[in-house]
This record gives sequence, structure tokens and C-alpha cells, in this order.
Amino acid sequence: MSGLISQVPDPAPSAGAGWLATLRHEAAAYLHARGFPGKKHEAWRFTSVREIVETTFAPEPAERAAPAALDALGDDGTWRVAIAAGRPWLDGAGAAPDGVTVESLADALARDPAALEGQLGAGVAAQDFAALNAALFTDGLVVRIRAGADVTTPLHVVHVATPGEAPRAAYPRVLVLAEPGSRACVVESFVAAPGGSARHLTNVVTEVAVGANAHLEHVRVTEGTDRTVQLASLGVRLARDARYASRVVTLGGALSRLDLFVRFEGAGAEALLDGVYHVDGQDHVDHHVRVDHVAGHGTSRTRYRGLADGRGHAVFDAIGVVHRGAAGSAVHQENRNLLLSDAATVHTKPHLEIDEDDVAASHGATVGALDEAQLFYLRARAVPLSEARSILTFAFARAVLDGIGHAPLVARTSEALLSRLPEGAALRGGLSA
Amino acid sequence: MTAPQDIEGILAKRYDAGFVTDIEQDTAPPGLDEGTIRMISGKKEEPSWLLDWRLEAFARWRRMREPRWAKVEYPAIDYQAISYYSAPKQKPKLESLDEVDPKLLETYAKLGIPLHEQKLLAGVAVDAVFDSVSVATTFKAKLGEAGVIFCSISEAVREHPELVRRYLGSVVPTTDNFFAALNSAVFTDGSFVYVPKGVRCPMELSTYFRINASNTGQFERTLIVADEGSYVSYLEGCTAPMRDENQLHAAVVELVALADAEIKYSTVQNWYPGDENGVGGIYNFVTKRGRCAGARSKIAWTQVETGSAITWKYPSCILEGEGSVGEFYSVALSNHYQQADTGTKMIHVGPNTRSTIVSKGISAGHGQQTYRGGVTIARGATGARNHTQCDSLLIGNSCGAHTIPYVDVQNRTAQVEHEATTSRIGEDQLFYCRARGLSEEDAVGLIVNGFCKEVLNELPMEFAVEAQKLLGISLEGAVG
Amino acid sequence: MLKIENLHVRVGGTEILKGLSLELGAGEVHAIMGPNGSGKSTLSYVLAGRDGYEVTEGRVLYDGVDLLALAPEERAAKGVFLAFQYPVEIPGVSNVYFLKAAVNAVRKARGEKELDAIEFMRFAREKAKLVALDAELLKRAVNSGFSGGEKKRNEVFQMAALEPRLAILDETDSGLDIDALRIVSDGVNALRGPDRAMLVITHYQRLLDYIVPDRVHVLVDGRIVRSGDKTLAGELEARGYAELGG
Repeated sequence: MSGLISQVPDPAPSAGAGWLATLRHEAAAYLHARGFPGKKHEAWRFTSVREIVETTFAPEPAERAAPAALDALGDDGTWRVAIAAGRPWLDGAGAAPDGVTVESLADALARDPAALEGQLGAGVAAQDFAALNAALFTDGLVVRIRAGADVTTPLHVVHVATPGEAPRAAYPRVLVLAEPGSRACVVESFVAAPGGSARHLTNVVTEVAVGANAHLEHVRVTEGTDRTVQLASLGVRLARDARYASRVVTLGGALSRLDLFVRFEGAGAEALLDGVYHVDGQDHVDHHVRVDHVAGHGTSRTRYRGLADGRGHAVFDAIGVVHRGAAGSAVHQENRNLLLSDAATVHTKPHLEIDEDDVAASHGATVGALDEAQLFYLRARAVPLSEARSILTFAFARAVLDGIGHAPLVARTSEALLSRLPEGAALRGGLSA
Repeated sequence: MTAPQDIEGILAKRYDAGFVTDIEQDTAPPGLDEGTIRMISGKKEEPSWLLDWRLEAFARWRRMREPRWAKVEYPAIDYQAISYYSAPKQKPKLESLDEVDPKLLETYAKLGIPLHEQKLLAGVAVDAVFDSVSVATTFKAKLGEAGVIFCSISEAVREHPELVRRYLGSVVPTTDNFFAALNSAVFTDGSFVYVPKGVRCPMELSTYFRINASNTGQFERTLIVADEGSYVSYLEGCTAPMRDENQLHAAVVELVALADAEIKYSTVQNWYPGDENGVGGIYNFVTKRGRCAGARSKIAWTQVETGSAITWKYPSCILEGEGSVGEFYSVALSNHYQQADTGTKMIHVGPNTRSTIVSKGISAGHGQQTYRGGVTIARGATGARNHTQCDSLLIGNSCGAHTIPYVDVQNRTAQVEHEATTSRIGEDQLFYCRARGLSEEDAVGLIVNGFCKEVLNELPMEFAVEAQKLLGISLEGAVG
Repeated sequence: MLKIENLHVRVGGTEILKGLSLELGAGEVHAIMGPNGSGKSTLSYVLAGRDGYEVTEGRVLYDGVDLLALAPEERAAKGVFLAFQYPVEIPGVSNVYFLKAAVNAVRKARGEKELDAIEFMRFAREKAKLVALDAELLKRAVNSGFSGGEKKRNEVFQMAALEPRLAILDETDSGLDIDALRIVSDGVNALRGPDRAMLVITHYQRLLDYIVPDRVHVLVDGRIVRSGDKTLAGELEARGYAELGG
């Protein structure tokens, strides 16, 4: 056996094993029975994983690259902990802010496995690449925000990929538990260390549970390179009156795929799902957002903006499902894309499945070029063409970036986007201020 | 809980225009063959080219099949059971309104359309079409001073044959579709407008269509030509008596805007919709299309559709001229068992052409409504733009709304945007309003008018009032 | 002002309120707390007059008048106000237009002069300040596209504009973060007065740190199982409903 599947242990019947062993066995069995998704799967129609599936990845060695990558991020006023090679580097992180406990997932499972039963695996079903993670993860993080805590310092999990000379992979898993009445901001960044020539796969699953009346902002920034492959799943469960604001920023990558699942389990919850993505060169970025309104009176707003340049390829797919009984739900989806070159491609498909009468729903998608009149206006004011293009491109994306609740993070993500735009360096500081 | 019947009760519609005028009519026996067409052409003393044009259309129509793709259901129409000509008996040519049968004047007065010029709303000229023929056109002299031709199409065939011949069928060819071909063969009357170069038409022009006779189809044909740099605003209103059988209305409207010309075409359609059980009502199968032939020309369709048992209608724009503009604003209300499959087509041919579509659909009772909109950006339409906003409001639980957008883009520089929303007025909204002190009636009125505001604002003042009243009629007097 | 006597209410054949009694005097603020499904929302809807709630026994007197015999709009005109747990979106109708229609309907019923557009705008801006409601939200359609917090603030804004005598706040705090909770509570506290009574229904004890009630009632399974002063809320927090329910 070769390729990715060769990494997955053969499922053995496991009588009387604990819930975690069962989860792993079922995931492995799923993969051996079904294989990895191909082009015939509707959800993978525009994203080919054939090359990745055929690659044999070695586990990433636990090198000491994490602290250097953290330093490279500069000070953004967050409390930071790195995850590299699938395990957390807590010793360098210092004490977590008041009201928060952060623990290695492996330690938490060793200490009290029952405490995570019904949490781990509840946000993301073990299918496709989430099954791969379920079968192979060894460590990760458990972030717990205690009931009623009002945490002002953002909690920042930095995933560091260190590509080598042969293909490497890491399978981290993150669990965020925002207990009732709490308020916090969690940031996940995905960065790559310089060097290496082979592909690096990050197959990550993040599961978030937002408790009753809790407020959680979740910023997720990926800075991809031509070596990074990210196959990520993020599952969010919302209890009664919970508030969840997601800001996804995906900047390129050989392949950056995110499956975001949001489930309204309690009545009266609200989810704001914002995203911005940029592709250039040979980048391939794919976002799949699925929102399930199971309980009523919930509101979800999905609002993604895309920028496609070079020979880049961007895929956006959103589905909003209102289940019978989820009366009073409101589902809104919007995806706008700027096509910046002839060779770039955008596929967009926001859609709705509604099984309930009392619902407000809307969806819209646009794909278009930069406004010629605006470009001309800028040029008539002596702004060179390529700079004018970048100014308008950045302006299109910043509606989402400005929504991030922590100013230094707005600045950091803005800078990261600008640095990818032609003449963007010249615009830094001025525009992102 | 508020039973759905309560909401339906609020919407229970009083049809004010449902009376029959008792007037002696000259009505042809039912049936359609070449003889019928020769008869119509003969009655109108038409030139031979027009008779030939009709006969060719008829020959084509016989080989065509009735379209079935629309999301509407109705029993097969027996085209031989319809009378294709009906006119009030009177002198053929009217010199003054004093010669119009007082019963006709009374009919239009009852409909709120007084034909005596001194009683008219200042600034609106009216052409009144009763069943198959035009019975009166007002303010002709005043329009004549500006060089504007506004008359019945029969008269235009006699008086301005070169204009009619040049433009008739130039936007909607006789073979365009089944109903357009039928109309071309049997059309009896309609309005004709020509606005000369550089003239801003000094008043609103209006045609008021009335179906009176039973078992009669109405097949009117309207042709509006706005020459270079001219402007005209045209209003169309329609009503019919309450009758148990369905009546067919298959009209064709053609608009031509030359360079820098603008045509604003507004419709308030209140054909009899049938009763609350879905018996009777007009089948409204209409082809409306405008051609922005010249650069920077503009055609705007605004429609408020509250009537008809079945509506099948897609007022469209062919945007040929560089920088030409097409607009479509629509409110369609389907109540009881009404069915509407309506929308528009914007065909962008020339560069930098722009179009805007705002469609508001209201479904109540068992009403079914489909928005069907096509946006085509042809290869040469560099820099073309379209924005579509399509909102549906559902009242109660037994109605339906469907949105079917077709987008065909063949030019990369085009920007096409589509937004759609669906919302329902149910028990929740009504209770919320009542808990704030509003009566149920006021609440529904508030919600429906708020929903339509964007489109009603596009109507000329006189029509906006009428449209609001019309929507209001659907809501008034049913509670308590 | 409000007297509820042995109220029994069925919804869709199931009895939800099972003999609830409560008395609320002018100037008083009472809180009702209870777990999910205890009947809190049923109580607020019955008092506001929503259809589908069948009163099988008991009565409700409001200033001595049989409240249950009145239509919802009549109750509103007489000064009963419900701040909805889930404020309803009304697309196409602007917030300010809606409120003007409501305020004038209520003023008319009270025999007061209706406000014209200019008077009303001045009046609305003044009231909006109370809950720091963005003036932009006045122009937008009622609750459409509002965040959860904005909807709740809009409810308190409407309450300020309609100047009720009896205000029922149904979970007005749910979904609010601490900053929004402060703003909303300040707005509500500013509306407290000797002629006005308030019934504050909440799921979360935290609210009562900001809106301090005169009395706290614990609603479990359709009945008030305990009443006390504000310290009862703290006790609930510590011990939970189960123990108090017995």
C-alpha cells in the first residue's frame, strides 16, 4: 500500500474499547471502505486531491521551528501558543489569561478522557479528510473559557508548518469550549516556516462549542505557500442565545481547503460567518460552508469575498439548511468575487435547503472585474495602473478584514493581504491604517 | 394562532371593475380561419400589405404549438370558440368626443378614466380601447402641435402607413412565439405613438384597455417609436367584467428607441382575476419588448400586476445601442388561485449597456408566482452591467414563490449581479404589529406597501396613486 | 395594576400554565425566572394577547379591567407593552415609519394629538439616544438585518417611544454581551417610574445585577414555586431550579 491511505492503520474490531478508540476505528474503517473523495463527489467537484492522496507523507519531525515562526509574526497583542508537528508548544506560552485554561489534548485525554466525551468528534463528523484526522491525530489543544469569564486578550493558536525535502504531514486537533455566559476571541493562524522543497500537509480539525449566551469571535488566518496543503475542518455548535463570529482569511496555498460546519443546537443563536480569500500564481483555495439550523430563531449570515488573480483557482460553496421545526430562522448568504486576470477561475455556489415555512432567506453571488470607471478615476488622479488596481482590490476585501474585533489583528491580516498584491508593499501602512 | 383564513380574509379581494356595460355590439361569430382575418382586415379597411402580413402570421401560427414551459396550469384553450372581433356599434370615424356613445363615456368614468378633456387629469392624454377597437383618443390636437402622433393603430395604418410598415414587427417578429403570431394574425386595435426627433412629449400618454363582451379575446397591438433625442412616458391600464368563463388576452407591445431617446412604459394591470375559487378571469399572454436601437437610448418598463387568472409576460429590452439602458420594475400580486409566470429579459448586445431589474412578487391565498428572468451578455457587450433584485413576499401558508434566473455571459468584462430574498408574512409579523397598537388591516397594508415602495416610486404620480389604491383594495374591508 | 389569578393556559392541547397568580403594583419591578419550558414565554404572550393560547381557568385584571377580553392592539393602546424575546423582522417597512404608525395609533386611542413627520423624527431621535441606537437603524426595515443585540435595543427604544404603563420584558437580555447588557439595562432603568410597572422575564440571573427587581418569582412547570426579594436570584444561581422547585 502506498499513498495517504497507507498511513491509516487497518481497522481492527475493538470490543469494549473506550469512546475514543471507537471514534478512531470508525474513522479508519470509513476510509478503508470509502477511500478519499474524488471529482465525482459534489463537494470535491472543483478541487482535485488525487495528487495528495497518491503521495506518501511522513509524519513531520518535532523540530524546534515553532518559536522562530512565532517571533516572525511580530507583536499583535495576543496570548500565543504554537502547534507544530501536530503537538502544542505550551512551555514557551506562559500562563493563559484569567478565566482560560489551555491544555495539551494528549494530556487532557490521558488525565480525564470522560470529560471530552461528547465534545471531541461532536462538531465535525468523521468523514473524508476529517476521518483522516480522527484516525491519526495524536495531540493538539483544549482551550476552555470558563463560564461567565470576559477575556479581553485574544487567545492565539499558531499552527506552524515546516516543509522538508520529502513530503511531511501533521494532524493536529483543537477543541475550543466557550462555557455559558463567557466572552472571548480565539485566533488560529496557519503559517509556514521558510525552506524545504516538498509538500507539507496540515490535516487539521477544530471543534468549537459555544455555550448558552456565550460570545465567541474566531479569527482564522491562513498564509499559504506553494508547498503548503491544508485540508481543514472546523465544526461549530451553538447553544441557546450563543453568538459566534467567524472571520476566515485565506491567502493562497498550493491547496487550502476549509470545510466549515455550523450547527444551531439551541434557540436564538446567531452566527456571523465572514471570509476573504485571495489566490494568485497556481494557488487553489476552496471554502465549503454548511449551516444547519436545527433549533429555531437563529440567524446566520455568510459573507465571503474572493480575489482571484494569476492562474489561481477559488471555489466557494455554501449551503444553508433549515430543518423542520427551526421556525423563525434567518439565513443569508453572500459571495462576491473579483476576477483580476483572464486565467483565474472562480466557482461559486451559495444555496439553500429549507424545510420550514417561517423563514427569512436570501442568497447572492457575484463574479466581476474591477470597475473600469473607478480605475480610470484613480489613474486620472495620477495613480499608476497597477497601484490603482491594488487599491481597489484591497478596498473590496477590507469590508471583511475591518470586522475583526482586535485592531492589531486587523493590521496584521491587512498587511499580509497587501504584501501579496502587486505594488502592495508601497500601499502598506497607508491603506491598512 | 391566527388561522390562515384570517390572512386570506384580509386579502379577500373586491373587484371594483367587474361590471358589464350594456351596449349594442357588433360581434363576429366565434371561430378562426383565413376568412376571419380577411373580415377583420376588411372592417378596418386595411391596405393589402397588412392583410398579407396577417395571413402569413396566421399560416405560421397554425404550425406552432402553444408553449408549456411556464409554471402555470390551465385547461386547453379552444381557439375556435373565441370571437375575434367585437366593437360597440357606432359611426366609424369620430370627430369629437360628443359623438362617443354616452354609455361608453359612463363606463370609463366609472373606471375612474373620464374621457372629457376638461375633466381629465391635466397632462394625461388617453386612448380608450373597448374590446376590439379604440373608442376615443383625447388631447390629440395639443399633441399634434408638438408633432407627437398618438392615435389608434388602425388610424395609424391609414394615416401614417410608412411609419407603421417600417416598425411593425421589427421588435417582435410575427413568428416570435405562439401568442405573438396569433396576435399578428388577428389584432384588432391598439395604440400608436410616434415622437419626433428632439421632442419631449408634453404630457403622459395613456391607453385604457377594457374587455366587455363575453367570449371575446382581446388582441391589441401597441407600437411606440421614439425618434432621436425624444422622450415619452406611456401608461397602460386594463380591466374586465367579472365573468365565469376565462377570456384570452394576447397583446403585443413593441417599443423602439433611437439614439438618445427614452421611453418609459408603465402598466397597471387589473384584468379580472377570477373569483376566490379560481373560476373565471383573464388569461393574460402578452409579449412586450423594447429595442434600444440607438446609442444611449433608454427603455424602462414599470408594471403593477394585480389582475388576470394567469399571467405570462416578460417585458424585455434588447440593448443594441452603445451605452443604452434597460430597466424593469415590477410588482406582481397573486391571490386566491391566480398564477403568474412573469419577469423580464435583458439582452445586452452593445458595449457598455446597463440594465436594472427590480422584481417584487407577492403571493397570497393559493397564488403561485414565478419570477423568470433572463440576462444575456453577448460577446460584443464589453463593459455591460446588470443588477437584479428579486424579492418574494408570501402571505399565508398555501401560496408559493419561485425564482428562476437565467444568466448567460459571453463577455468577461461584464458584471452581473443577482440578489434574491424570500420572506413570509405570517402570524408573527401580524402579532408584532398588533402588540404595537396597529390593527391587523393597517399592519398588512403597511407591510405590503413597504415591500412595493421601490417599484411604486418608479411610476408616474397619477399611476402610483392608482396602483397603491389597487393594492389597497386587496386589503381593505375584510377584517371584523 | 396587574393582577393575575389562578391562570391556566393550554397551547395546542398541552397545559403550560397551571394556576399562576401574581400581583404587580404601579412603580414595581418584578422578575420571573425559570428553566426552559417552565412557561415564561407563554405568560408574556398571553398577557400581550397572542392567538393560540387558550385560557381555561383564571383571570387577568389590568387596572381592574379584564385584560384577556381585549385585542392585542387594544392592550397596546391601553399601555401594555411586550418586548419580544425574538423581535420580528418586517422587510420593506422602515423602522421609523413603523414606529410612527404605532405611536400615532396609540396616541389616537388615548385621545392625544398625532405627531406629524417632523415632530416624530425629533421625538424618535431623542428616544433613540436612550439605548444608543444608531440613527442608521431608524431608516432600515424593522429588525431586518439587525444583529441580535440591535434587535433587543430596538425593543427598548420602542418601549421608550410608546411610554407604556405595564412593560413586559421577555428575555430582553438573552444573547447580549456584557457591554450591550449594560446599555439595555441603563435604558430600562431610565424608564422606571412611579406610574409604570415592569415584569422582567429572564433565563439568566446576571440581568438582575443590572435591573434590580423589587420581587423575584421562580416559575417551574407552570406555577410560581417561590417568591422573594432580589437575594432569591443569587440563591437560584448557587443551588439551581431543581432544589427550589420542590
